[in-house]
Amino acid sequence: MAMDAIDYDIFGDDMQYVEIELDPGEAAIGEAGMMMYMQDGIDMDTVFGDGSAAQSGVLGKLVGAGKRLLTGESLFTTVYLNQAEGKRRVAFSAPYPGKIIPVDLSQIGGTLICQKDAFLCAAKGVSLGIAFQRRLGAGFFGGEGFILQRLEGDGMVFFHAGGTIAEKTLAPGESLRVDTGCVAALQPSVDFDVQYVGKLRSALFGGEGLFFARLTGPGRVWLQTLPLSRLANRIIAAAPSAGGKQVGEGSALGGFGGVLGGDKR
Amino acid sequence: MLTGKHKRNTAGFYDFKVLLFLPGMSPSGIRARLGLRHGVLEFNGPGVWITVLADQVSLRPGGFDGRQWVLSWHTETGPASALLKGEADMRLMRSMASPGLAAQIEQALKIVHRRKRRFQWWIGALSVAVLLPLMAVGLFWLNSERIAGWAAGEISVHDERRLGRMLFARIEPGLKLIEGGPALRMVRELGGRLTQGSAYDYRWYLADSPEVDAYALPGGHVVVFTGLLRLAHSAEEVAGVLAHEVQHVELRHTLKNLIHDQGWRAVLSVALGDMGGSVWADMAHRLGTLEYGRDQEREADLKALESLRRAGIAPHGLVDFFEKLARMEGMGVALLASHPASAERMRNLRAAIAAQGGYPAQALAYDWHAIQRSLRD
Repeated sequence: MAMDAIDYDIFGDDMQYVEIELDPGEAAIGEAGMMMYMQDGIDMDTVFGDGSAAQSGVLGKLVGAGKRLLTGESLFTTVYLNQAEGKRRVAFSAPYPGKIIPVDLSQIGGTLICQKDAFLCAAKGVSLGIAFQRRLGAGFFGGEGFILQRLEGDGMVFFHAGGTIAEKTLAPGESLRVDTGCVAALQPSVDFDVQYVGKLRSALFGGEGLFFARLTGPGRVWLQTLPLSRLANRIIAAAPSAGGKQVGEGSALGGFGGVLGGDKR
Repeated sequence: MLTGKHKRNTAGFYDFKVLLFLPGMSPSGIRARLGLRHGVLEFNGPGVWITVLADQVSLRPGGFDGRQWVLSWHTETGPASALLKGEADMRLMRSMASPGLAAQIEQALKIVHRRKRRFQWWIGALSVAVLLPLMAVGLFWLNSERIAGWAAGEISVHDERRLGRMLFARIEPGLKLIEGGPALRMVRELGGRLTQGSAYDYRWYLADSPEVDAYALPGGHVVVFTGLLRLAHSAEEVAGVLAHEVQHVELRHTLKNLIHDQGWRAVLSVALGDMGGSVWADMAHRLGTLEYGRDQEREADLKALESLRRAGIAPHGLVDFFEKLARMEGMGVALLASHPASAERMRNLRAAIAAQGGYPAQALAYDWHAIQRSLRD
């Protein structure tokens, strides 16, 4: 399958967007709703499924779309095709604070497994699928659930994860214990399982929960420092309207500091 | 088991696509082909050509989902491994591998199958846990008529009367009851003739309202609206309607429909004697909008004809009156809303009257003009 080779630039620090340069006739696919801007000459077309050639026929498209529903993706993918004479640019932005990670699938064996919702955009020809976590332990306690996303092909893909990204390379047999929920993406060769924290005291009071995710090489993994769910929990816990408590932000006046600061409505 | 992706190499052996991880090479793995011959694994990729003795290789299921196949071995510079794709590859490899490796493959396949079974078992158990309550609700819904019928059967006549009293107490304040006069006397007399020998203690009420309506509460409270009497042309027609309404009581249709509507709340409150107000208020409200089912109408019609015959009253009034109503379809006739007068029902009624044969019936001796005059005042 011929993949479109694309050039790109990533802008921003913690709330990033990626700008992709398309040669005439080249195309990129984007997750619906993630496009930020595009230049004249780029034709936007929404297709059923993921726009890869692998799914042909109505039935194949329906199956592909069904799978996308399961991964929490929208049913349609948008294809951005450069119809102009020269190079044109299209940009996609990340939906929450974090990093956009470019991965060249041809450099990692052609397949990348990432947490659902992580996909941002890719060169046309990359296929989006689901990967089931078939280990019960990992599915229930690994923090990523039973449904992951499988990106396959030979082109560039861009996925998005929360916080800062730690990219780790694991040699065969080398393992890393990771807080559950922090795994953003991994190569399929990496063994993903859960491991009991080991001591009852740690399990109860260590604050890491009962299990670690245990990643064993060979292969590369991408870890996120701030999963969206954790960020959301902290925000909800701090939001007065959701029953959170007002934190004085270090003001000696405590709650009154907020009045002076003018952030009380 | 041989699929298109297995191609014989030049030496006549099958190749497997693998992702090869070697010390000193790309940590993300490189794509290579694996050939298997005479107990030797031969890896061939861009810039790589290595051989490994099959006896030195161990194999286990692994990867992100525990369903990938990982070959691993040790080299002089460190551990190495290769990722194979799919179970088909494994089976093929088992058929060609040396006994040692074949045993390992066998073992790994067993592990995966055990995991698969366990996974399926769990998924099955989960689906059952989710589906069972849904099925229970579905069954309940499908059988709601039968369950309502059964529940109605569990309620004693005594409780039904009590229920009727409570409902009537709710409704009464909204009715302008007529306390006397020839019209009420006629309704009472006709009702008494039609309900002779009944287990229920009937009460007859005439309410002053232009609405063409009549309804029967559980336990025997029958309310007739003056609008209905005004539309009727004879006492026989009124008798027909009363005979029909009485059968809804006798056959406990109103009770069943109320239970069907209100569900277990009603059953429980009757059974446990919890006379919380809201249930009755709801029921009283619903009484006005209850619609009898087609089967219930047919049943009540047939029984009504029988009771008219027993009382010696001509049966044609019943069908005449409802046909008159049917012609007024769409004019907001209340009685029609609860008693649909379909063409089919009318046909059935006429057929039933014909089948019943003639019987001696005296014309009802009421001064119809006097009654109508009394209603107009």
